[in-house]
Amino acid sequence: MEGEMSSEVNILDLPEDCISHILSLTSPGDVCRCATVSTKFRRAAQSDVVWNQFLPSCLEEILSGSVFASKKDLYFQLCGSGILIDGGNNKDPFSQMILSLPNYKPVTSRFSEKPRINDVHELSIQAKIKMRFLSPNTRYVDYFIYVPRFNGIEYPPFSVSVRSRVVGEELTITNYARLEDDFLTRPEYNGYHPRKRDDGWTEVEIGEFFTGDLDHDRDCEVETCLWETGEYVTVACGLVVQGIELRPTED
Amino acid sequence: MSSSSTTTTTTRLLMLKASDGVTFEVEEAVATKLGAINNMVEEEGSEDLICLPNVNGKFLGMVLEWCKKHANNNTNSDKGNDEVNKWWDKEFVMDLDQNTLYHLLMAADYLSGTELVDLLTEKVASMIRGKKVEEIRETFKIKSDFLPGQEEEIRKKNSWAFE
Repeated sequence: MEGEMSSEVNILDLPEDCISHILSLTSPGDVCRCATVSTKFRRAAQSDVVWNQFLPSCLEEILSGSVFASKKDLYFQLCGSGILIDGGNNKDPFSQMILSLPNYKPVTSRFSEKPRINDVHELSIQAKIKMRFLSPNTRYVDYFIYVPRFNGIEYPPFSVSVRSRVVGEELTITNYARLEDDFLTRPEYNGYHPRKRDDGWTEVEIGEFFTGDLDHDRDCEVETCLWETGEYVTVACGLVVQGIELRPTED
Repeated sequence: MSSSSTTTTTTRLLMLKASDGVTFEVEEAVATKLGAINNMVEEEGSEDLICLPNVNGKFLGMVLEWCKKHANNNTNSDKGNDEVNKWWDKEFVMDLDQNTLYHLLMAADYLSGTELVDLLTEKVASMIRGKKVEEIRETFKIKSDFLPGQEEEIRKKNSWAFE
Protein backbone atom coordinates (compact mmCIF):
# COMPACT_ATOMS: atom_id res chain seq x y z
CA MET A 1 0.00 0.00 0.00
CA GLU A 2 2.54 2.51 1.09
CA GLY A 3 5.53 3.12 -1.10
CA GLU A 4 9.08 3.77 -0.09
CA MET A 5 8.22 7.44 0.16
CA SER A 6 5.52 8.50 2.55
CA SER A 7 3.14 10.12 0.09
CA GLU A 8 0.90 13.05 1.00
CA VAL A 9 -2.53 11.80 2.09
CA ASN A 10 -5.92 13.43 2.54
CA ILE A 11 -8.84 12.39 4.77
CA LEU A 12 -10.44 10.80 1.67
CA ASP A 13 -7.50 8.36 1.47
CA LEU A 14 -8.65 6.76 4.73
CA PRO A 15 -10.62 3.52 4.38
CA GLU A 16 -14.37 4.08 4.33
CA ASP A 17 -14.92 2.21 7.61
CA CYS A 18 -12.31 4.42 9.23
CA ILE A 19 -14.28 7.51 8.16
CA SER A 20 -17.43 5.85 9.53
CA HIS A 21 -15.64 5.33 12.84
CA ILE A 22 -14.74 9.04 12.92
CA LEU A 23 -18.32 10.08 12.09
CA SER A 24 -19.66 7.84 14.86
CA LEU A 25 -17.83 10.10 17.33
CA THR A 26 -19.71 13.20 16.17
CA SER A 27 -23.47 13.83 16.31
CA PRO A 28 -26.47 13.00 14.08
CA GLY A 29 -26.45 16.61 12.82
CA ASP A 30 -22.73 16.47 12.01
CA VAL A 31 -23.23 13.17 10.17
CA CYS A 32 -26.08 14.59 8.07
CA ARG A 33 -23.90 17.57 7.13
CA CYS A 34 -20.95 15.31 6.34
CA ALA A 35 -23.17 13.25 4.04
CA THR A 36 -23.27 16.27 1.69
CA VAL A 37 -19.51 16.90 1.74
CA SER A 38 -18.52 14.26 -0.84
CA THR A 39 -19.68 10.88 -2.16
CA LYS A 40 -17.19 8.98 0.00
CA PHE A 41 -18.37 10.83 3.11
CA ARG A 42 -21.92 10.09 2.08
CA ARG A 43 -21.24 6.35 1.87
CA ALA A 44 -19.41 6.39 5.20
CA ALA A 45 -22.32 8.31 6.76
CA GLN A 46 -24.77 5.52 5.85
CA SER A 47 -22.97 2.90 7.90
CA ASP A 48 -24.61 1.05 10.80
CA VAL A 49 -21.37 1.66 12.73
CA VAL A 50 -22.25 5.36 12.75
CA TRP A 51 -25.94 5.19 13.65
CA ASN A 52 -25.53 2.46 16.22
CA GLN A 53 -23.65 5.00 18.34
CA PHE A 54 -26.68 7.29 18.41
CA LEU A 55 -29.12 4.58 19.52
CA PRO A 56 -29.81 3.61 23.14
CA SER A 57 -27.80 0.61 24.31
CA CYS A 58 -30.88 -1.18 25.67
CA LEU A 59 -32.44 -1.20 22.20
CA GLU A 60 -31.71 -4.83 21.34
CA GLU A 61 -33.61 -5.92 24.41
CA ILE A 62 -36.61 -3.72 23.67
CA LEU A 63 -36.87 -4.24 19.94
CA SER A 64 -36.40 -7.99 19.84
CA GLY A 65 -37.89 -9.29 16.62
CA SER A 66 -38.26 -5.96 14.86
CA VAL A 67 -36.43 -5.63 11.55
CA PHE A 68 -35.08 -2.43 10.04
CA ALA A 69 -33.27 -1.81 6.75
CA SER A 70 -30.48 0.01 8.55
CA LYS A 71 -29.62 1.59 11.89
CA LYS A 72 -30.07 4.94 10.19
CA ASP A 73 -33.69 4.08 9.32
CA LEU A 74 -34.20 2.91 12.86
CA TYR A 75 -32.74 6.13 14.26
CA PHE A 76 -34.97 8.37 12.17
CA GLN A 77 -38.05 6.32 12.85
CA LEU A 78 -37.35 6.63 16.56
CA CYS A 79 -36.96 10.40 16.22
CA GLY A 80 -40.12 10.65 14.18
CA SER A 81 -43.24 8.70 14.85
CA GLY A 82 -41.62 6.13 17.12
CA ILE A 83 -41.74 2.35 16.95
CA LEU A 84 -44.43 0.06 18.27
CA ILE A 85 -42.58 -2.32 20.52
CA ASP A 86 -43.18 -6.04 20.01
CA GLY A 87 -43.98 -5.28 16.39
CA GLY A 88 -47.65 -4.99 17.30
CA ASN A 89 -48.04 -8.75 17.75
CA ASN A 90 -48.42 -8.65 21.48
CA LYS A 91 -51.91 -9.64 22.59
CA ASP A 92 -51.97 -7.46 25.67
CA PRO A 93 -52.54 -3.88 24.56
CA PHE A 94 -51.27 -2.44 27.83
CA SER A 95 -47.86 -4.01 27.42
CA GLN A 96 -47.24 -2.18 24.19
CA MET A 97 -45.58 1.12 23.89
CA ILE A 98 -44.01 3.34 21.37
CA LEU A 99 -40.33 3.94 21.89
CA SER A 100 -38.80 7.17 20.74
CA LEU A 101 -35.43 8.76 21.21
CA PRO A 102 -34.29 11.32 23.78
CA ASN A 103 -34.29 14.99 22.74
CA TYR A 104 -36.87 14.78 20.05
CA LYS A 105 -38.00 11.70 21.68
CA PRO A 106 -41.50 11.11 22.93
CA VAL A 107 -42.49 7.76 24.40
CA THR A 108 -46.02 6.59 23.78
CA SER A 109 -48.06 3.77 25.15
CA ARG A 110 -50.60 2.91 22.55
CA PHE A 111 -53.36 0.38 22.20
CA SER A 112 -53.06 -1.96 19.24
CA GLU A 113 -56.69 -1.43 18.36
CA LYS A 114 -58.17 1.85 19.42
CA PRO A 115 -60.73 0.70 21.97
CA ARG A 116 -64.06 2.44 21.75
CA ILE A 117 -65.26 2.46 25.28
CA ASN A 118 -68.90 1.48 25.62
CA ASP A 119 -70.86 0.91 28.79
CA VAL A 120 -67.92 1.47 31.06
CA HIS A 121 -69.06 2.85 34.36
CA GLU A 122 -65.75 3.19 36.06
CA LEU A 123 -63.15 4.34 33.60
CA SER A 124 -59.68 3.62 34.93
CA ILE A 125 -56.48 3.47 32.91
CA GLN A 126 -53.08 2.75 34.36
CA ALA A 127 -49.82 2.49 32.44
CA LYS A 128 -46.31 1.80 33.68
CA ILE A 129 -42.95 2.18 32.01
CA LYS A 130 -39.48 1.36 33.27
CA MET A 131 -37.40 4.50 33.71
CA ARG A 132 -34.37 3.02 31.99
CA PHE A 133 -36.23 3.24 28.68
CA LEU A 134 -36.36 7.02 29.12
CA SER A 135 -33.67 9.69 28.87
CA PRO A 136 -31.82 10.55 32.08
CA ASN A 137 -32.15 13.95 33.78
CA THR A 138 -35.15 14.85 31.67
CA ARG A 139 -38.51 16.28 32.65
CA TYR A 140 -41.33 14.41 30.95
CA VAL A 141 -44.98 15.38 30.66
CA ASP A 142 -47.57 12.61 30.27
CA TYR A 143 -50.51 13.10 27.94
CA PHE A 144 -53.67 11.08 27.47
CA ILE A 145 -54.52 10.86 23.75
CA TYR A 146 -58.11 10.24 22.71
CA VAL A 147 -61.07 11.45 20.69
CA PRO A 148 -63.77 13.15 22.75
CA ARG A 149 -67.37 12.13 22.35
CA PHE A 150 -69.84 14.79 21.33
CA ASN A 151 -68.35 18.10 22.40
CA GLY A 152 -70.08 17.94 25.73
CA ILE A 153 -73.55 18.49 24.39
CA GLU A 154 -75.17 15.13 25.05
CA TYR A 155 -73.13 14.37 28.11
CA PRO A 156 -72.16 16.30 31.18
CA PRO A 157 -68.50 17.45 31.21
CA PHE A 158 -66.34 14.39 31.49
CA SER A 159 -63.80 14.91 34.27
CA VAL A 160 -61.18 12.47 35.44
CA SER A 161 -58.53 12.40 38.11
CA VAL A 162 -55.02 12.17 36.72
CA ARG A 163 -51.71 11.35 38.33
CA SER A 164 -48.17 10.71 37.18
CA ARG A 165 -45.65 9.45 39.66
CA VAL A 166 -42.37 7.64 40.03
CA VAL A 167 -43.32 4.36 41.73
CA GLY A 168 -42.15 4.39 45.34
CA GLU A 169 -41.88 8.16 45.61
CA GLU A 170 -43.83 9.58 48.53
CA LEU A 171 -44.95 12.89 47.17
CA THR A 172 -47.51 12.55 44.44
CA ILE A 173 -49.98 15.08 43.21
CA THR A 174 -53.37 14.14 41.87
CA ASN A 175 -54.91 16.61 39.50
CA TYR A 176 -58.12 16.91 37.55
CA ALA A 177 -58.48 16.86 33.83
CA ARG A 178 -61.46 17.53 31.69
CA LEU A 179 -61.69 15.27 28.68
CA GLU A 180 -64.44 17.31 27.10
CA ASP A 181 -64.34 21.01 27.45
CA ASP A 182 -67.36 22.92 28.43
CA PHE A 183 -66.92 26.57 27.58
CA LEU A 184 -69.33 27.66 30.28
CA THR A 185 -67.39 26.22 33.18
CA ARG A 186 -63.93 26.76 31.78
CA PRO A 187 -63.04 30.01 33.61
CA GLU A 188 -63.47 28.60 37.12
CA TYR A 189 -62.01 25.20 36.44
CA ASN A 190 -58.54 24.59 37.88
CA GLY A 191 -57.64 21.27 36.25
CA TYR A 192 -56.06 20.48 32.91
CA HIS A 193 -57.88 21.31 29.72
CA PRO A 194 -57.89 19.25 26.55
CA ARG A 195 -56.19 20.46 23.40
CA LYS A 196 -57.09 19.43 19.89
CA ARG A 197 -54.04 18.25 17.96
CA ASP A 198 -53.25 18.69 14.29
CA ASP A 199 -53.46 14.94 13.75
CA GLY A 200 -57.13 14.81 14.76
CA TRP A 201 -56.59 13.38 18.23
CA THR A 202 -57.20 15.34 21.39
CA GLU A 203 -54.73 15.36 24.25
CA VAL A 204 -54.89 16.32 27.88
CA GLU A 205 -52.04 16.58 30.35
CA ILE A 206 -51.85 13.99 33.11
CA GLY A 207 -48.83 15.14 35.04
CA GLU A 208 -45.08 15.37 34.92
CA PHE A 209 -42.01 13.80 36.43
CA PHE A 210 -38.23 14.07 36.36
CA THR A 211 -36.08 11.04 35.55
CA GLY A 212 -32.87 12.09 37.37
CA ASP A 213 -29.62 10.11 37.09
CA LEU A 214 -31.06 6.81 35.98
CA ASP A 215 -29.61 4.20 38.28
CA HIS A 216 -29.68 0.87 36.50
CA ASP A 217 -29.51 -1.11 39.73
CA ARG A 218 -32.61 0.57 41.02
CA ASP A 219 -35.02 -0.18 38.19
CA CYS A 220 -37.68 2.46 38.81
CA GLU A 221 -41.02 2.62 37.10
CA VAL A 222 -43.20 5.56 36.24
CA GLU A 223 -46.90 5.09 36.67
CA THR A 224 -49.48 7.10 34.79
CA CYS A 225 -53.09 6.87 35.97
CA LEU A 226 -56.38 8.26 34.93
CA TRP A 227 -59.68 7.43 36.62
CA GLU A 228 -63.18 8.77 36.98
CA THR A 229 -63.75 11.34 39.67
CA GLY A 230 -67.42 10.89 40.19
CA GLU A 231 -68.00 14.63 39.90
CA TYR A 232 -70.98 13.72 37.80
CA VAL A 233 -72.48 10.34 37.17
CA THR A 234 -70.96 9.73 33.79
CA VAL A 235 -70.75 6.88 31.40
CA ALA A 236 -67.55 6.80 29.40
CA CYS A 237 -69.54 5.77 26.39
CA GLY A 238 -68.10 6.55 22.96
CA LEU A 239 -64.64 7.65 24.09
CA VAL A 240 -61.97 6.50 21.64
CA VAL A 241 -58.61 6.06 23.32
CA GLN A 242 -55.30 6.12 21.49
CA GLY A 243 -52.99 5.82 24.46
CA ILE A 244 -50.52 7.71 26.60
CA GLU A 245 -47.58 9.75 25.45
CA LEU A 246 -44.58 10.80 27.51
CA ARG A 247 -42.92 13.83 25.99
CA PRO A 248 -39.77 15.50 27.28
CA THR A 249 -40.06 19.21 28.00
CA GLU A 250 -37.43 21.85 27.34
CA ASP A 251 -36.82 23.00 30.92
CA MET B 1 19.81 2.66 37.61
CA SER B 2 20.91 -0.81 38.61
CA SER B 3 17.31 -1.97 38.75
CA SER B 4 16.69 -0.97 35.13
CA SER B 5 19.60 -3.07 33.94
CA THR B 6 18.15 -6.12 35.66
CA THR B 7 14.75 -5.61 34.01
CA THR B 8 16.26 -5.37 30.52
CA THR B 9 17.86 -8.78 30.93
CA THR B 10 14.43 -10.34 31.47
CA THR B 11 12.70 -8.36 28.71
CA ARG B 12 12.64 -9.88 25.26
CA LEU B 13 13.46 -7.56 22.39
CA LEU B 14 11.67 -7.65 19.04
CA MET B 15 12.94 -6.28 15.76
CA LEU B 16 10.31 -4.49 13.66
CA LYS B 17 11.08 -3.73 10.04
CA ALA B 18 9.15 -0.98 8.26
CA SER B 19 8.25 -0.78 4.54
CA ASP B 20 11.29 1.40 3.80
CA GLY B 21 13.67 -1.01 5.53
CA VAL B 22 14.07 1.03 8.72
CA THR B 23 14.26 -1.28 11.74
CA PHE B 24 13.27 -0.70 15.33
CA GLU B 25 14.37 -2.67 18.34
CA VAL B 26 11.52 -2.68 20.81
CA GLU B 27 10.73 -4.39 24.09
CA GLU B 28 8.09 -7.06 23.66
CA ALA B 29 5.88 -5.45 26.32
CA VAL B 30 5.85 -2.24 24.27
CA ALA B 31 5.26 -3.76 20.83
CA THR B 32 2.49 -6.07 22.04
CA LYS B 33 0.36 -3.02 22.86
CA LEU B 34 -0.37 -3.35 19.15
CA GLY B 35 -2.88 -6.15 18.64
CA ALA B 36 -1.41 -7.27 15.30
CA ILE B 37 2.08 -7.71 16.78
CA ASN B 38 0.71 -9.40 19.85
CA ASN B 39 -1.00 -11.95 17.58
CA MET B 40 2.18 -12.53 15.57
CA VAL B 41 4.21 -13.07 18.74
CA GLU B 42 1.65 -15.48 20.14
CA GLU B 43 1.17 -17.41 16.92
CA GLU B 44 4.66 -17.46 15.51
CA GLY B 45 6.40 -17.74 18.84
CA SER B 46 10.12 -17.38 18.55
CA GLU B 47 10.25 -15.09 15.50
CA ASP B 48 12.24 -12.02 16.55
CA LEU B 49 12.15 -10.09 13.27
CA ILE B 50 8.73 -8.85 12.24
CA CYS B 51 8.28 -7.26 8.80
CA LEU B 52 5.58 -4.63 8.44
CA PRO B 53 5.39 -3.89 4.70
CA ASN B 54 2.41 -1.55 5.04
CA VAL B 55 3.94 0.93 7.45
CA ASN B 56 6.57 3.52 6.66
CA GLY B 57 9.46 3.91 9.12
CA LYS B 58 8.63 7.49 10.03
CA PHE B 59 5.12 6.60 11.18
CA LEU B 60 6.05 3.25 12.70
CA GLY B 61 8.51 5.19 14.84
CA MET B 62 5.76 7.51 16.03
CA VAL B 63 3.39 4.64 16.74
CA LEU B 64 6.08 2.90 18.79
CA GLU B 65 6.86 6.12 20.65
CA TRP B 66 3.21 6.24 21.69
CA CYS B 67 3.26 2.55 22.72
CA LYS B 68 6.41 3.07 24.76
CA LYS B 69 4.94 6.01 26.68
CA HIS B 70 1.79 4.06 27.46
CA ALA B 71 3.61 0.87 28.38
CA ASN B 72 5.91 2.79 30.74
CA ASN B 73 3.09 4.72 32.34
CA ASN B 74 1.09 1.57 32.84
CA THR B 75 3.85 -0.32 34.65
CA ASN B 76 3.56 2.00 37.63
CA SER B 77 0.20 0.96 38.95
CA ASP B 78 -0.47 4.46 40.14
CA LYS B 79 -3.93 5.97 39.82
CA GLY B 80 -2.46 9.24 38.58
CA ASN B 81 -1.25 7.45 35.47
CA ASP B 82 -4.55 7.79 33.69
CA GLU B 83 -4.12 11.53 34.04
CA VAL B 84 -0.52 11.31 32.81
CA ASN B 85 -1.57 9.27 29.79
CA LYS B 86 -4.37 11.69 28.98
CA TRP B 87 -2.07 14.66 29.22
CA TRP B 88 0.55 12.95 27.13
CA ASP B 89 -2.04 11.88 24.51
CA LYS B 90 -3.21 15.46 24.24
CA GLU B 91 0.33 16.61 23.58
CA PHE B 92 0.85 13.80 21.11
CA VAL B 93 -2.05 14.78 18.82
CA MET B 94 -2.02 18.53 19.42
CA ASP B 95 0.29 19.66 16.65
CA LEU B 96 -0.09 16.82 14.18
CA ASP B 97 -0.57 18.01 10.62
CA GLN B 98 -3.35 16.25 8.72
CA ASN B 99 -0.98 14.22 6.53
CA THR B 100 0.79 12.76 9.58
CA LEU B 101 -2.53 12.26 11.37
CA TYR B 102 -3.96 10.09 8.56
CA HIS B 103 -0.73 8.16 8.05
CA LEU B 104 -0.64 7.40 11.78
CA LEU B 105 -4.30 6.46 11.79
CA MET B 106 -3.82 4.02 8.92
CA ALA B 107 -0.73 2.57 10.61
CA ALA B 108 -2.50 2.22 13.95
CA ASP B 109 -5.50 0.65 12.24
CA TYR B 110 -3.29 -1.83 10.35
CA LEU B 111 -1.42 -2.71 13.55
CA SER B 112 -4.67 -3.01 15.57
CA GLY B 113 -3.56 -0.39 18.06
CA THR B 114 -7.10 0.14 19.32
CA GLU B 115 -6.35 2.81 21.91
CA LEU B 116 -4.24 4.79 19.46
CA VAL B 117 -6.97 4.50 16.79
CA ASP B 118 -9.45 5.88 19.33
CA LEU B 119 -7.17 8.78 20.14
CA LEU B 120 -6.60 9.67 16.47
CA THR B 121 -10.20 9.24 15.31
CA GLU B 122 -11.30 11.45 18.22
CA LYS B 123 -8.87 14.10 17.00
CA VAL B 124 -10.36 13.99 13.48
CA ALA B 125 -13.93 13.98 14.88
CA SER B 126 -13.12 17.13 16.88
CA MET B 127 -12.23 18.82 13.58
CA ILE B 128 -15.71 18.01 12.21
CA ARG B 129 -18.03 18.74 15.15
CA GLY B 130 -20.35 21.71 14.82
CA LYS B 131 -18.99 22.78 11.43
CA LYS B 132 -20.97 23.78 8.39
CA VAL B 133 -20.53 21.79 5.17
CA GLU B 134 -18.34 24.48 3.57
CA GLU B 135 -16.19 24.67 6.70
CA ILE B 136 -15.69 20.89 6.65
CA ARG B 137 -14.65 21.02 2.99
CA GLU B 138 -12.24 23.83 3.76
CA THR B 139 -10.77 22.08 6.82
CA PHE B 140 -10.11 18.85 4.95
CA LYS B 141 -9.50 20.37 1.49
CA ILE B 142 -12.30 18.34 -0.08
CA LYS B 143 -14.01 19.23 -3.34
CA SER B 144 -17.61 18.14 -3.83
CA ASP B 145 -17.84 15.27 -6.33
CA PHE B 146 -21.62 15.10 -6.43
CA LEU B 147 -23.55 15.36 -9.66
CA PRO B 148 -25.37 18.67 -10.16
CA GLY B 149 -28.48 18.78 -7.97
CA GLN B 150 -27.53 15.64 -6.02
CA GLU B 151 -26.13 17.54 -3.04
CA GLU B 152 -29.21 19.73 -2.85
CA GLU B 153 -31.39 16.63 -2.82
CA ILE B 154 -29.50 15.07 0.11
CA ARG B 155 -29.63 18.35 2.01
CA LYS B 156 -33.39 18.53 1.60
CA LYS B 157 -33.86 15.12 3.20
CA ASN B 158 -32.33 16.32 6.47
CA SER B 159 -32.89 20.03 6.20
CA TRP B 160 -32.98 20.34 10.02
CA ALA B 161 -29.22 19.68 10.13
CA PHE B 162 -28.54 22.74 7.96
CA GLU B 163 -30.58 25.34 9.84
